[in-house]
Amino acid sequence: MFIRTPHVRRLGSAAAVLAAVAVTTLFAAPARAAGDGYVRLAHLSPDTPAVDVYLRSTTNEIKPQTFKGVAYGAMSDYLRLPTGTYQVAMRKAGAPASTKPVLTTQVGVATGGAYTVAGVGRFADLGLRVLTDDLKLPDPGKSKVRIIQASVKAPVLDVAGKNGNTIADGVPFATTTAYREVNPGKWSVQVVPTGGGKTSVLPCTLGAGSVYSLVVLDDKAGGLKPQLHVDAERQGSVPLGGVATGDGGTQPGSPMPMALLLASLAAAVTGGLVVLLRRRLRAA
Amino acid sequence: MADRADAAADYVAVGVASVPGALSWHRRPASARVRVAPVEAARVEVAVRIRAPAPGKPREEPDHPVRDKGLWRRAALPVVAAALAAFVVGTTYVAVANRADRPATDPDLGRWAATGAVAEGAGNAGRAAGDPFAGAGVAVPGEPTRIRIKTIGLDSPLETLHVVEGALQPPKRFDRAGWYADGTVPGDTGPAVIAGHVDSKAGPAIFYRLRELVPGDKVEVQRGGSVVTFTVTRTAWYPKNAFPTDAVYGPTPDRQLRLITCGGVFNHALRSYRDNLVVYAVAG
Repeated sequence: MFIRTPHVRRLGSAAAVLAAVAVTTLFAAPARAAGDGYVRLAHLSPDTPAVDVYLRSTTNEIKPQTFKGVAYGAMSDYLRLPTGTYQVAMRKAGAPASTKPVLTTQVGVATGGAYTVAGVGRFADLGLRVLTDDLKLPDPGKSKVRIIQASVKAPVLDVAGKNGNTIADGVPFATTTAYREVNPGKWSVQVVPTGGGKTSVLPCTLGAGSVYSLVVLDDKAGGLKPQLHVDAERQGSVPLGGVATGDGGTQPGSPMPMALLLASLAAAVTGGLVVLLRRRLRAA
Repeated sequence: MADRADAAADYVAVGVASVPGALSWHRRPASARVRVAPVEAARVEVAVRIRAPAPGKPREEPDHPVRDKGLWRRAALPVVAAALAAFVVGTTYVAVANRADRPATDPDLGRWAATGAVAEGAGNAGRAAGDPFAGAGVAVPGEPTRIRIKTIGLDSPLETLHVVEGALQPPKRFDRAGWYADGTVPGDTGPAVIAGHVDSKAGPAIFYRLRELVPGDKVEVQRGGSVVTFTVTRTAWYPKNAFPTDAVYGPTPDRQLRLITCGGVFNHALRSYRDNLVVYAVAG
């Protein structure tokens, strides 16, 4: 009750130091394990022959990996990688790893980030591009979809549902649209060159809460070949808030009722004693 | 106030000293009487001085001037003493109770007593050695029926959980975990959810030791005739009123699992824990 202020202050700073130590030790350990992101690789250059793709970490987080014979239209699954910087290199299929790569690029992987590293454009001006994939949950009851335009035969194209719901208009070759929220369910996606041409139809089902990339490729027959890739997926409705999974049986019972009882007893006894003593004192 | 406290101390001191001695205060030794005398004398003097301007008023009980003062003044001393006693007893009890609840060596430490090295290489670090361009996902038939986590000695059949009024319902039984059956099936692409109670009113429940999981631990989910293995990537505590819906229920590019239970401060009034513990795991 009558602690002097300097003591209180000292106690306060000691508590602050303790708290800081506790926070550092608590969060230092899992921080290393928490850092993961996703990278996938794609070949989206129509007139470029198959390539070998090399992936290595600049800080040796993973063993170097090689994917042989990746041809036009191929898109890998996501690779889960520790955060850090990675180098992606492409060599002509079958070329020795010692030769100079045709293309290289770097991709910085952040925690929870997702990236598509794609060879895009015509062979003459081929480039490796890093697309950032936004896999966050769409608004309730919506799906997210974007267009990756890799068709040189239809340099600009429109994408819409059969019922006329536009997904994207006037998408130029070698570009990627932003994700757009659409209604989930059965779609009959129609891809048509802007200004007219042969329409290609892709029947598909979009799930609520899931994220998609629609890749438009050149078909060998001269038409368009739309492909739907699942970027991230989930099922069912999204529960709100946490889960009530405990009844407190392993927690100590609240000390408050007993403390209050004892306190009131002590108050009654002390008060009574004081009154009694004083009365007797006066009586004397 | 300080004077009053001193006076109280005097009374108490005198009372304590005299109790073992004579039963009667009238025949008290003179030495004890002397200690009280100055206080009494001062009071008498004050009373006389106040009364002096009204000599016409008949004097009543000149030997007991205290009786003339306000009720609150007479009650003040016992009330203050009672409050003091109540405070001291109450806080002491709470302090002692809390200390007793948290012994220096927690028998519930379990495996924490000897923490091993954190395993790495979750996710498809292993699968990447295969061909991520193959595309075909691993299709596992059947519903999940059982969860096993060897490192914490957990083996439980699974009940089905559903969303009621927006919130995910906890398992009905305390000795059994449950999977969110309207959401992603454990082993499919997406965030599958398995929840379990940390305790019942009686004591520890099925997910009591979930807090001991560390990155690298394996979680096995029986699905039909096969077993899907997940690797813990991180664990996190969240206040229920700031539950990260996106991180827990958002779409994922790979097959993931979240184990959810309660923890943190237990609110006795609401019979509810403040926090949720979420263990993130990824297939492989």
